Amino acid sequence: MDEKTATRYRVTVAEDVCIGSGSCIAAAPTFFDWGDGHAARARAELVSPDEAVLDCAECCPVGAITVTDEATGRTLAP
Amino acid sequence: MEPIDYPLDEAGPPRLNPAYAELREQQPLARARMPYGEEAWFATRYADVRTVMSDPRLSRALAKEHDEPRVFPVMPDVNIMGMDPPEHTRLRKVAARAFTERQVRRLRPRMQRIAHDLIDAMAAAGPPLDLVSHFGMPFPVTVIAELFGVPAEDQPLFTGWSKALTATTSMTGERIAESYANLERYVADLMDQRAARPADDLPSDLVAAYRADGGTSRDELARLGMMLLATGHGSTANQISYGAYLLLSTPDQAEKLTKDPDLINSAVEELLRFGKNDEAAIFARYAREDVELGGIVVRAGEPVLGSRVAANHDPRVFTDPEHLDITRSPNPHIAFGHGPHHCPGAQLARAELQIGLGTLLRRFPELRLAVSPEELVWQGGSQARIFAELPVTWWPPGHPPGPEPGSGGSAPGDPEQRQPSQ
Repeated sequence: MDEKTATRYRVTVAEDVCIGSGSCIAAAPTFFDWGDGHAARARAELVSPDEAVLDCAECCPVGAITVTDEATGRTLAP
Repeated sequence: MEPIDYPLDEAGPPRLNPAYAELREQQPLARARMPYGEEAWFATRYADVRTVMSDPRLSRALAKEHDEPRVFPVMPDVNIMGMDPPEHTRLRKVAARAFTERQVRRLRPRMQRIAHDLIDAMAAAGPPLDLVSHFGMPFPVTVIAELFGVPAEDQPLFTGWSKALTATTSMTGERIAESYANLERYVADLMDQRAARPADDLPSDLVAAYRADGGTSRDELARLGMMLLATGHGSTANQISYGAYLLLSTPDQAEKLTKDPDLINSAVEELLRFGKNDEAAIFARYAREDVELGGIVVRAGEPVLGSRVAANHDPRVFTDPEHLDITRSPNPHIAFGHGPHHCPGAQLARAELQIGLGTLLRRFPELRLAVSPEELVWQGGSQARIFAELPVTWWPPGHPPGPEPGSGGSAPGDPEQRQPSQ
């Protein structure tokens, strides 16, 4: 599985897609917080692999969060 | 502190009860007595309501250990709304997968077709006619039926049973239980059929998600599917008809939208923010520990309710909140909730409202109420208040000439449009 072998996750929040549901910030405040205005942002673009980040990407009601394997560029979630 | 009796209004046209503004300013965390269950704290400020919905110290899972404050005689057994992260996350991922942005985008052309077909039938029948039965209801019902891959003849069945999920006093406890059981069996059967023969539909996606995730049971998934089917058309149906009513009873805003159809997206957001017909605060959160909220300490084990309608009219966030402004931006309303339980079907609902209302006004730029708003008959007894019928017309004033619109006379254009509809 890609998400198991990845050594770094790249986390991006598409600000133009984000509706500010707060779902990721409530679930994983160590990885996400509020940016300017009403959109969420990733606290760090590159993070150590953590399932919570993948869960956030999969639970986002608009699919605004993307997690890729930094080494290969493959999408891990959603 | 004397508790308020909630809901504040149950009959007649939905309004913004002045008590919300008073509470927000004077008692941001009030005490409330609901029709059923224990007394609760009641939040009305935007920031506090968002905290109620998203703070991990406030739990939905704990509710089942208490006599939960509620408007329903029996709390709907909606498993996903009775869980906290991380357990909730497991089921939430399945729900999110069913309604991804990509799937909604793929559905849009089909939704557009369905809207046009219904409007063609309206044009053929001619005004005046009831918008609820000709459009507000059949549009989302057809969309959800296609998403679930169920035949058109099943529509009366599942729409009837679905009403049990939002009934307060409109159904007896027995009827509610019976409808629940029927709907659950219907969805479980559907999922069994898709397990045997997968198709390109939502039940097949649920089955696939169930197979991919060993931690989810078949019953759990059937109940999730049931909730997606019921809320996936019921609340949208209400909001399409109610949204049309709000627009048509605010002619300057309807006219602005007719002149600039590109405003439809922000108009839909504003209608969602401004709406007051679904005001019941539901899904109380229980404090896991002492939590300070609105200057008061909510003790561990106490329930808190947040009012979406009060939050969506908080002047701290929304300028001139009682004014319907279809150009409002930004518009961070919480009509779909907030935090982990934010409606997973929000984008589907938005697409339906944008396409539904947008197409109606493009095809019928003269669309207007055929009765005065005071004549509408509002139905209570359910989570949201809605009129039984919304009579509309779309011939320009004076056309056709004659005492009664639709009673004859010379119609402009298509002579078929002259047939009265009722």
